[in-house]
Amino acid sequence: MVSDNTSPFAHPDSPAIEVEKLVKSFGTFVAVNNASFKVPRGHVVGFVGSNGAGKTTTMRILATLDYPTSGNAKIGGHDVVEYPDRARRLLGWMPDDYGTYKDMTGREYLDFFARAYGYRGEERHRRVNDVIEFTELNEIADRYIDKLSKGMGQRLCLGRALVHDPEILIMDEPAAGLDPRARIDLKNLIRLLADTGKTVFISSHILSELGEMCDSLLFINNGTIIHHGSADDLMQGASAGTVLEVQILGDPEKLQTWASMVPDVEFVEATKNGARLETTTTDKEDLAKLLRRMIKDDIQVYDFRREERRLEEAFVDIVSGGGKIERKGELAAKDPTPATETPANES
Amino acid sequence: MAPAAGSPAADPLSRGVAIDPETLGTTNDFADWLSPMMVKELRQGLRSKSFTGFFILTQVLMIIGTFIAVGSAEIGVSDSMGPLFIGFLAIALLLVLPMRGFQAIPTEAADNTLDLLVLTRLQSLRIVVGKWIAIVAQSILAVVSVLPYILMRYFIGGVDLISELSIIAILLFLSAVIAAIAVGFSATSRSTNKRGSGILITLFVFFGISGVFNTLGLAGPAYSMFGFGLGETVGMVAVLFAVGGYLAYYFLDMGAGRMAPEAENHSTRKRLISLGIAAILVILVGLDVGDADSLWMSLLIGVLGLSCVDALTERASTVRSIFVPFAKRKMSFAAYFLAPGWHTGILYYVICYLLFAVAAILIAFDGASLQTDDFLFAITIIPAVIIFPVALIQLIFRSKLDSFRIYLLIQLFSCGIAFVLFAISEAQDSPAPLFLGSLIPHCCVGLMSYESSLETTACAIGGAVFLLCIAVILIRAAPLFKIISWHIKGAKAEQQLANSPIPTTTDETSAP
Repeated sequence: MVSDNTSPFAHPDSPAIEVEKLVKSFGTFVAVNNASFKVPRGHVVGFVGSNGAGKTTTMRILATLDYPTSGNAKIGGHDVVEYPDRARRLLGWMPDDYGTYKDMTGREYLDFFARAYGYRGEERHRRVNDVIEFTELNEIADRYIDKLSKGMGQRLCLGRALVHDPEILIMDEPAAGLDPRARIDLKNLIRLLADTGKTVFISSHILSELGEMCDSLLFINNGTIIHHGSADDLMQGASAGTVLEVQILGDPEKLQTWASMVPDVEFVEATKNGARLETTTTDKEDLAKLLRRMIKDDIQVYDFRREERRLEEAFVDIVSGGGKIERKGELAAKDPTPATETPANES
Repeated sequence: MAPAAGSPAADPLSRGVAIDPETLGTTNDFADWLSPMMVKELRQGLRSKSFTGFFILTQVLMIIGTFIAVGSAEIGVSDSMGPLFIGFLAIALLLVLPMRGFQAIPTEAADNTLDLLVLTRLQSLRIVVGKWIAIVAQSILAVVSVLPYILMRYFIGGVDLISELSIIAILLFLSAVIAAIAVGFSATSRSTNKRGSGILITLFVFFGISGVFNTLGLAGPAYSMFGFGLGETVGMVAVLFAVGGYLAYYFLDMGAGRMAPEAENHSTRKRLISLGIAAILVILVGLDVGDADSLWMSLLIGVLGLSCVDALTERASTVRSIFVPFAKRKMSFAAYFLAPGWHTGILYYVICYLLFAVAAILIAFDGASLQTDDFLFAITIIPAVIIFPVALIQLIFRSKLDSFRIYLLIQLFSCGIAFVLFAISEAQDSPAPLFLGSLIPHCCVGLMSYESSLETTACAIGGAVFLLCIAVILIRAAPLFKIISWHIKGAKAEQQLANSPIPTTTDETSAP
């Protein structure tokens, strides 16, 4: 295999991010403990963990800003310690703490970074204008940065990270401290970036947002990767079956009676207009059959839904050490390739 | 966002990737010809309150000074504003403007922009040099703004224009050197609370330079209150410029090295340049050029001392890519003393010590007089004083990142302890307190000055401490030498594979 000399990637099939047995210690404190995972190109991966879990440390190592104690981290196939300049060429880094010059205007700020990335003349102006347009900063681009709101500042920071058109974006808590409107704007921008084929590795505390925008989620706790899989996986829950919430017309007790007669279905509890039922299957076709049978048995169903866990609950479950997903997460941590390469297949 | 015209990988600043000039656009903007860092720093610097305030103050003082000069001329008194004028410029150029250099890197760290800067294509040396040039440019601007007042005073009469302009040129040069020291020093730590140490070092440099001026006989009677003046000794001025140039280069590269990722090697060049200069100085000592042995020896101590302290306080780099060029050039042995890190620094220090010992021997055995005590002092206590803090760092402060500053602090404390013990010895009329503290080699210096009969004993203790410190550091460095050896073996094996006729895949190691 011969490397393409014009491609910033080390090999044509190099994953965007590759971490293998990564360890980072500060004295006796182990911030990252034997972390292994891969992020395929073009994927949006959420990095989730409580404060002090090791997210920022891992991200800083990936961004070539810190050194691992042991293990390897690669960006586009380039080792971040051995070849940081090659890795940096592929990287856009957005820290949680902005990083702006308050005595500059937004345009001057972007212009400086475009220069710093080596762009000149018309090309530089074009890049700066593209970024301003993409981040919708047109109206405030000529204002001093210290006059910008936090949301605007964060967009400017995103613009700065994009000014050299990087293949891989690493974003550490980009939504921290933003109001709901700014968060939605940021989420939309990230979606747009994903649509252009960028790889986005993003950490956040707001799991519902990550669930919506990410192809997969990577959970870290006490420096250890404890789960890597799709959001769908998590929301389906840890149980081997499915909990259904069914609303019917008529007497809700009818549903309880029906459940007692059907194999593989258990009555969990009554609700105002129906009941919560649990079935041993998770297969969508089996669930459809179940609904058909209910209707055939003259139960007037007007609402039939699969109960999903909230991502926050899933996260708490995994961190607190319960459930089947954690076991799967452990496997993912040990052998990340199948889980990360095909997260959609798992669901 | 519209996709970029080409990949950023095609940037000419990038290393090892094909260049596509179309990607970067053409240079049609004057600022495009300048360093981005300098443009940014100038933009920010000229807007800063400190520069604006200083500029206005200068203009006001110069106008007042000119009026006084005009008044003096009318009543027939000779120009009384000269010393004040030059004095003000000296303070501005040697203190106020370069002082900003101490905040150059910590300010970026405080704004959380340092990480963003190092991730761009700007190499750390370009960042540091850009910051330095911006400060120098502001100093030049300040000087240019006062030139009209010099001309006015010249036309009023009583001003030696050439002399005054020469002094200003020297001040400007020294200002650039101090700014370089300040910017380089600022990169040794990312902490922003270093203003105090910055001020101290600036004062030290300022008064040090005044001392150099006086020592070199450059002080003119007209400006004696500030210790500056234009002397006739062109050779001495040349030495001053050479020393200043070396210091400026060294501190800027040192700052860049401290900021750079481990995979960047800033040490080999610095160490080779320093060794080269040291070798020239040893030759000058040997040939007794200009009958100035003590000057060459002082410069030798300065050059070797600075480069050794830097080498011994560097972060140890164990990144394989650092050692590959040594193996490729079949200079693997050089990696053990020229590769970055304190562990190679100890072997570099030993080489420097041998060079210094040669110079000391040349001086000691010069002519008929054999100055044994001075020779012993030079080869035992001076090297012990330099290396003692490094041994302490390796024993106690290994986990600290800013070793250079810790080194300076330990030196300061050691000097303080030696001073106190010396004072106690004097008060008690007994060398016992100094003997008690003689594990600190600075106390051996005290012992030597205390009583001439103790000189040999002091040198023996100093020599023992010196050897002990070397041993401690070598023991600490041993595991790292193993890593170097392992990397070099690996690099050699890879090279052999690459040179073998069997076709191999192209990977990271063989990529340009």
